[in-house]
Amino acid sequence: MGRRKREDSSDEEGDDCRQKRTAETTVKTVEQLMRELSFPGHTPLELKLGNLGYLLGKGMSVDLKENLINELVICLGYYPGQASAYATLVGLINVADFEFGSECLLFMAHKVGESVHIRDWNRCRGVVHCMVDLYHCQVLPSSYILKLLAAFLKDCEALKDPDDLVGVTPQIRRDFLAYCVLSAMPLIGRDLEGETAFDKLIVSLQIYIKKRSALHTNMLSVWPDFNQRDYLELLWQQVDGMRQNHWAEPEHQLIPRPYKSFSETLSHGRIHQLRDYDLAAHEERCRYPLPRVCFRIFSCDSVGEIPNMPPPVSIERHLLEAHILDILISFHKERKICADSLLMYAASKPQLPVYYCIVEVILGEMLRLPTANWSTIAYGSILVELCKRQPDKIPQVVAQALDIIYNRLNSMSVACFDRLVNWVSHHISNFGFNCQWSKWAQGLPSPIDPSATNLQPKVVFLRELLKKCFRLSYHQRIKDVVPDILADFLPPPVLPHFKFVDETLPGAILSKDLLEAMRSPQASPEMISEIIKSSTGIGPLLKINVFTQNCLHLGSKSFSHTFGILRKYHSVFKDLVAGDPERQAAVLNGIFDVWVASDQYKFVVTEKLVTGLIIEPISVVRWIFGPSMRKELTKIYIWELLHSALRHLKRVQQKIEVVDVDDPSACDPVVKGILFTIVQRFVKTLCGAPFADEGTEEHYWFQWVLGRLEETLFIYADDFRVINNKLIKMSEDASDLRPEISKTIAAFVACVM
Amino acid sequence: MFASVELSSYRDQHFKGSRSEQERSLRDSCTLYVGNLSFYTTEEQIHELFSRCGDVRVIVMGLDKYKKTPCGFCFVEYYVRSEAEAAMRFVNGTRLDDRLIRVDWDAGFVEGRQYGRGKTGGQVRDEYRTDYDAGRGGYGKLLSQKIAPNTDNR
Repeated sequence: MGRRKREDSSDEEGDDCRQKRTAETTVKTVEQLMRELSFPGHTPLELKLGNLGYLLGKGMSVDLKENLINELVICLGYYPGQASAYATLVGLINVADFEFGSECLLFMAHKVGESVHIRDWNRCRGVVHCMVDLYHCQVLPSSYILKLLAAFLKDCEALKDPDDLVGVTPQIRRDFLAYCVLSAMPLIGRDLEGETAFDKLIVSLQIYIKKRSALHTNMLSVWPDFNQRDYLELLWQQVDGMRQNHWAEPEHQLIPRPYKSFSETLSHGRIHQLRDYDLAAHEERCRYPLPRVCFRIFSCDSVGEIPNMPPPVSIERHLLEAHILDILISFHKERKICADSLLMYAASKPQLPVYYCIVEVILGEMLRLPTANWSTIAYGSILVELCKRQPDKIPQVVAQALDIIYNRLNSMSVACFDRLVNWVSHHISNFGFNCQWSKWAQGLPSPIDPSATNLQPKVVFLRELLKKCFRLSYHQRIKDVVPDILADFLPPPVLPHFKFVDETLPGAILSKDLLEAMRSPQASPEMISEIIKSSTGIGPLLKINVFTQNCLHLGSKSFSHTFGILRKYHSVFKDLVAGDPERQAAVLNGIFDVWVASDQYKFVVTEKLVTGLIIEPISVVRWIFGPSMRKELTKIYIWELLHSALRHLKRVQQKIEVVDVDDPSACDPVVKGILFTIVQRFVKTLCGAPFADEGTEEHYWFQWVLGRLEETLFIYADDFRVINNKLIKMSEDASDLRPEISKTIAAFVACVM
Repeated sequence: MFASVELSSYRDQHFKGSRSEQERSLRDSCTLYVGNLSFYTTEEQIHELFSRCGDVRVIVMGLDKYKKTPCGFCFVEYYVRSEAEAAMRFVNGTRLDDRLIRVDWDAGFVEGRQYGRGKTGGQVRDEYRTDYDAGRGGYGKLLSQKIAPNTDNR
């Protein structure tokens, strides 16, 4: 809107401009106030609601109504944990304007169904919880609430005729719908107890929980040996405990009920009668949240008594964890706001050990199977922020959690391992690399065997953790903080190994000639190419190996020097390698020879040649599963390399053609092909391993690699879904050979498909 | 509410283009400026930390204009914007080599920007610094020069 001098405008036009600006300001203000209902701050929620209610009570323009109704649903998606606050707001709106209240309700009901289809599961749950709370706000009658919840359970009840529907409606859909209802029960149970329709809901839930399959539990457990519970089954038990206590309100005000502060005002509202609710049926394109297993480290059997910690099967424990998780959902992208919210929540429940629950929930989400929702560093940066703000409390809880996890490493799923190592290394790098090194050393089986052939989980953990610490720091720094007893676990200094200084080796002459040429200021790719081509007496594979080693030797001072050399001689590599698989392997051989002492360099240099189109992703796959890499398969960098190559392939394929991300059958055939090849290589490699007694090096090796197979299936579950028929056939064929392998693949297919 | 990925107030005075062009570049960029590094922090360390947020395309180390040695900053480029955003959210204001590092949007690396613009070759901020920073060569340059004559006199 252009500026206009006041003198030039008529009064009428001026008034119009002012009204528009006022309206615009009001819309923005209301939107901001609505979001701020969920933001941490020292203003009580009730005061914020009161201010907002007052503002809206003065009258709402058409624009404001339109924006408000959209903002309401947006907020419920971003802040599902604050459903009760938004319900209170709708109640206040309803008092001010009954017709608009009706519009809000219809819009929300519509958005519930839409949310399922567009996979916005948080919004779906947020809206459901909000509508349930609208009963408390004198907006909706109990009959409507009961019908809404019954509509959600309709698919679950259909299990009475399992042959008819079980193949049509996936369990994960029924699980999600049951979860929405079950998690809403504590909000409304006391008010509806005794109503026939409500009791019917309870019976439906009970039957469903009893009948549904929980076969996924073992596969999705971080520690299969520690009796981790299926999430929905546990939630039923927690809610049922509340029911048996006649829905008595949990202590410590764990269920937020801000509308109670507005009882007088809300009682003036009129209740709406809506038509019955019908949830859209399942469609092929629909996706649902995967099943989950409860992550538990703080319970009596792991750390002894934590004062006032609610038992795992109590509704209080669930409510604490659900609220903490909702804060993460809302604010995981803003670690300072997230930390503020979590700490304010802890401060509001001083009798409860909320810090323990916070650490437990964050670690549980970070290590969650099949995959975490967000990157490891997102969780890690929130924990760092919390430790900085409460340095005398939270670091001790984190240390306790780490000790528990360390002591359970023998049972931990390999699919969580990289996340754990990456998190610990990043975390302690923010705190001087101090942690319980000595305590962990004492926890090792004696005598302490630091040799590379010791593949016990604790040993591998310490070895890989120290490597990561090295990568984030430098040799002397880490040596200074690690106790002597762990000195033998430290990786060697990052130094290249250049074997062609030994002039008796085949290729040493060419190497010497190349070194002299490459060091001269006049060196050019053409010149180097000529020297390589004109040398005699050695084959092309050795030539490539020599050239590769020379480049890396000359560039070994830093990544930039290495990349500079590779860039300068890119055309030489292109000519020599020419897309040939054996020649690509020769390059890889050179890299792994020179940088035998540095996992980071092997990974990063290979990655650079993959993105530089010298080495193809399929060659990386062949290399990783080739004989020379067998002992490396227990190390993290190998899998970093595999996944990096696949990400590169996906980036390349995405540029080539457009894939419909919503079409479940769409998956780039090149990506599909290589993923299937990877599974085949896993199976072949594992089948080739000798049977070994438990506790031996070979047994541990097998477990590590089998775990990597599982991890790979997890990471690319969406892609594998498209080729699940092939996987099923493979697991059936493989059953002739090793049951553990076919079991892993079959369990994955059953769980994720 | 200030979000972690918002543009900061810094603008490159040497940017070739208009203010709005720089703004647009900053909003679309996959490149980050990283500041307050120790002079001894290596490229390998930076790669390890920043690759926790996504795939790094390239890292360019900031160098002293005359000595061509690292002088406490660098540029990190990602393949995709969302991964650069992750670094803004989760790495900015955390520690590398025990130092709090600062991460900021950058309009994109061009040759020449890797050199310090301070009079003595390093970063401008180190010309005027009055505190002692072992990781950045000790005292600021101006203060160092004042101290030197006294040493000679002594």
